[in-house]
Amino acid sequence: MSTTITLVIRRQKPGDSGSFFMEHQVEADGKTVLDALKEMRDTVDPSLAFRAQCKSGICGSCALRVNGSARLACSTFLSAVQIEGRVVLEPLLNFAVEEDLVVQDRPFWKAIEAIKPWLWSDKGYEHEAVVPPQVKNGTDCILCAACYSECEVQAVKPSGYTGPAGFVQAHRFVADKRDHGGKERLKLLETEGLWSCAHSYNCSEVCPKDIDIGGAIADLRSQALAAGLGRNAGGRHVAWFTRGVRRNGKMNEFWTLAGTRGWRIIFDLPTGLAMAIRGKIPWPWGKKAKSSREVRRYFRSKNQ
Amino acid sequence: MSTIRHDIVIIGGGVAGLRAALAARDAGAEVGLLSKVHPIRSASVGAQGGMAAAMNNVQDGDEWKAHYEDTLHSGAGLCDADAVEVLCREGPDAVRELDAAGVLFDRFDDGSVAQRPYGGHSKARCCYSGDKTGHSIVHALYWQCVKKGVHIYPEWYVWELIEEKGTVCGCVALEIRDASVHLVQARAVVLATGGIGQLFSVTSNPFASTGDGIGLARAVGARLRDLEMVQFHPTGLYPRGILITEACRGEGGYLINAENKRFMFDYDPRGDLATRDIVSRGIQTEIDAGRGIQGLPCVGLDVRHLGREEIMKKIPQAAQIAREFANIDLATQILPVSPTAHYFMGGIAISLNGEVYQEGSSQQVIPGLFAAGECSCLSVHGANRLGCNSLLDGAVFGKRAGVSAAAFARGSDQISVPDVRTSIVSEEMHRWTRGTRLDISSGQLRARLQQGMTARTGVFREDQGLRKQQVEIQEIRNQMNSIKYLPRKGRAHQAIERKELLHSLVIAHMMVEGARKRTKSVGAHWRIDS
Amino acid sequence: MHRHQKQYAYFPGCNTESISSELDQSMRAIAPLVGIELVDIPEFACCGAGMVREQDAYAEIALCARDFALAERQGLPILTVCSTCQGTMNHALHILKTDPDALAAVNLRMEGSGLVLRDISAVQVIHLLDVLHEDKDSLKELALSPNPLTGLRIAPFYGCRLLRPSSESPSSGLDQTRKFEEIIESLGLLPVNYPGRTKCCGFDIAFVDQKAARALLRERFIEAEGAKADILVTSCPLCHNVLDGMQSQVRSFEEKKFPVLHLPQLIGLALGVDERKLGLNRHVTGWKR
Repeated sequence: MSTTITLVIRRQKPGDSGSFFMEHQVEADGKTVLDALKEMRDTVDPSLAFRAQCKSGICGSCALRVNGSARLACSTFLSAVQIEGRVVLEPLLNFAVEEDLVVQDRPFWKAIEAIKPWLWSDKGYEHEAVVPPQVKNGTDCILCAACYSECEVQAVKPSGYTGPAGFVQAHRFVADKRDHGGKERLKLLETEGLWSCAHSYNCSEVCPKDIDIGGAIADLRSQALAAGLGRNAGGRHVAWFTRGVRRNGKMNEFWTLAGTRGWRIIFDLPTGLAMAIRGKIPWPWGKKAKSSREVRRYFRSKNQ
Repeated sequence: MSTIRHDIVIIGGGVAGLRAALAARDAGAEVGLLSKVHPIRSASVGAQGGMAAAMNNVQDGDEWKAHYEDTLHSGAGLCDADAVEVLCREGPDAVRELDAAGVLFDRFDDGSVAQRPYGGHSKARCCYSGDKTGHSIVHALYWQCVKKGVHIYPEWYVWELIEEKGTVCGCVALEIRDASVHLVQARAVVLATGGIGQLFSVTSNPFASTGDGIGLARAVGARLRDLEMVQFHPTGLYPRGILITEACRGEGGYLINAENKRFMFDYDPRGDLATRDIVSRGIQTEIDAGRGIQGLPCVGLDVRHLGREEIMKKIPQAAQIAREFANIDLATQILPVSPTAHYFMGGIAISLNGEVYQEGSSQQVIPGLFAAGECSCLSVHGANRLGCNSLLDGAVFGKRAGVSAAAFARGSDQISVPDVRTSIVSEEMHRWTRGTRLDISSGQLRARLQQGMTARTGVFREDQGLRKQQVEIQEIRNQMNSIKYLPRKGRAHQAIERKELLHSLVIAHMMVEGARKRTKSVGAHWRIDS
Repeated sequence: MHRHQKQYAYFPGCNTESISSELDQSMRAIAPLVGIELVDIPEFACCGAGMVREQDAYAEIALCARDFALAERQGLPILTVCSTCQGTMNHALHILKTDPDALAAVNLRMEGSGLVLRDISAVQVIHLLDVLHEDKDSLKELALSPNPLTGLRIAPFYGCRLLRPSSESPSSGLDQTRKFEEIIESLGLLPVNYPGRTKCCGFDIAFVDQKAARALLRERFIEAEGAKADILVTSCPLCHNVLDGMQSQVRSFEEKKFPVLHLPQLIGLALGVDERKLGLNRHVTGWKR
């Protein structure tokens, strides 16, 4: 017994101002999105444009949006993702569409390049480097750009933001003991949007390699603060928030805001006043958790 | 239309191409790299096993001579001993260079590059980065190229090499995005276009592995060799061709046919643990005899009896592939597998320095043309490639080709080529428009070619089948020529599909010829009528 | 009064106790009506909100572990009313469940305060949304018809941390989840579908990268307007802070304004609770009828 699903593909031809949807019935059993795309190209419309290469989830070519979420076409089974018998295929977000499901991906490569994802090392190779076994962070990344597509901050910050995959690459090199980037790398990240991530976790959610992207960003911020690179709104935000929790067991909105914004807080007065009128005033003397003094001990311990 | 000039142009962005680009750049040349897919998408990223080099970090007494012996043994007498010596001597330095370039090789506790055993190697000399050695190497080399200012042209398709006064001095290339044509002038060209897996219906190679560079070289009179030498890995996931590690059998799994029988014991006393080529032939025999499972040209790999815990511990990657690409749970279901076209030992005949020989010669080279990696043949791999030698091949001979090309470029003048040479593209496309048929596509013909090659030039070859395949290839070519090409705006994938098929047909024809002429079985080439 | 009363260790979160006290007020007002008995634990400290993690990842796990131990001491599941608290605690639970070293070390830290986390597998942290959804059939019976929300097009706003990352979230179905919509439907009300429902409000960068935050926030209102929504409802006070408090910063004077309710306020209005008990007067983007 075979299942039929309706395959819906967003089409857009060069020179066209808008897109249209192509619908076709497809036998779904045992088929991946890539199988279906090839079938469409071979039997229905040879002009259907899409990227695909290794068909084994390692090259990163075939990322696209399936029912609204970025995935690899080669490892996505139609039956697993269909919603009410429909599978909708669209190009990745945050890119200009080149044609059909192919996007103009140069901005992605440029965004990654911005954080210099190569080993910062002057060492030649005359002698074999002696390096103890290392943790390999994010080396599973295939640069498929699924995260770039789904990142909501990427959508509103086309420049000055290296994006989730960029942070993963940076995290990989910061951890590499052969790399002498250290603080310089973290400084570079600051100008590439390290503190602009809004923790929406769309990236971790769609990563086909299950990379803990959110965790990588949190760790990079942590390292930046430890390296004394917290003199910016993002760093101050974290520092002041934490200060409040350490002191009273509760975060203090007033000091967090004041510490983060500094003199710029005068720009927040309109919002502040509107809230104050309603009684929403964050008092400088915050609430205290009962027996919160214990909490301070947690902060003296080192990271594991 | 535009004209671009570089000292050196590399065609192909995998390990060999990227390594050549880097070497040429380090030698002071100005380098352009054209690749029909973004370099990060190259077939090399799928190389898992690792990279062999006689570093003796395990301290089991390894040295390049042992690696050399192992390689010659695997090659079954068809290797070029000098080439293998270069490969094995330069292996350790090649690993160090890649390490310095940023590849995250696994390490031993003492800080040296970790090495592990691998089938066919007498010592533990396989360097690796998890199960992603190729991936790690390609990524590291790509970004090094970016850092060092190699001009990269992703999704540019080389239509033809340009020869002027007997010297290769550039190429005509198509930008895939919009089919715009470009004249790329260079003092030297390096071909690094990879393998030919897409000549077969079940292959571990990506869609781009159609052998274009070999066809391009042929068109300017290069000598090709050992074209019948194709390595088939016994267990590729059917039908996608993804490699399923032999560890599945090593850990106790077995192969069964439609009768639920462990058939390998019919072929070898070691049963499922026999060597790869024996297992390939066993599986193929079962398939040819109609005993494939579910009526398909594949057999079953059964690891259910290992239990879920053992499976997740010992063969997690195979379990993941089964789940991700076949929707199969290894703990409860059988995995369909068949021999998969994996590596091409043959290719463009080159010297130790990557210079391309002229047809009919083992002395005369085509000035300005170089090649490296899987598309080339020295031969270091002979009749059967030793595992973990392909990344090494790309690294060692990619570097040599880059260095040679840079030296050649330094000593030569740029030959000027008139723009009008780019008209070959529109001329050829115009010829295509005079076709008469619209009811068949090059994609369909590609599938037909693949079926025939797998059936008649696959694991088993015999004269009658090979003759039939020659006829088949000619028929496919005729049909190809009759397809009416409809020019259109936008991505040139249809034109490229047609061009790729033309290259594949040239190679297929020569491959079948070679298989016919070589009446004795050797290495991966097995004649059942010898 | 609801038939069954289930006890929960009530975890309001720092924001709910100060700026968004109307969330606390309305929660306490509706709890008995929907079978929730709120047990206050004054020792509860901040969950860390993903912020402390960036200063000291380990400290945040310890903070959450302390809260888990406090609830465990009373044998109660933890009830959150903030998507960020939920997401942060989900993460801590995930680490403590999968990394035995983390659990052991955290217990060591807490020894000094006489706290110990005995059975991490028994720790439950549930968001009000999930509690209500589990019992949505009761809501059908309890809802008044008509009520002040009858006929209004309601746009639910989940708050990203409630759902993502799904590997840590017990709220199954993720972006395809319709729990919020189903709650609204159970109340005899009208949910609208719009892309922003599971997206980001920008709170975490509202004072760090204002330009980006405002662009994000503005998108949410454009999407809501596109779906012809009348009001928004959130399950997170941080989302509420910006959706309600900063709405006028990202919308021009002529553009449609959306009142933004907290989830308990939605329940309260539908169940006929006196509006004065729901703290609606504290909203910046006015609730008018």
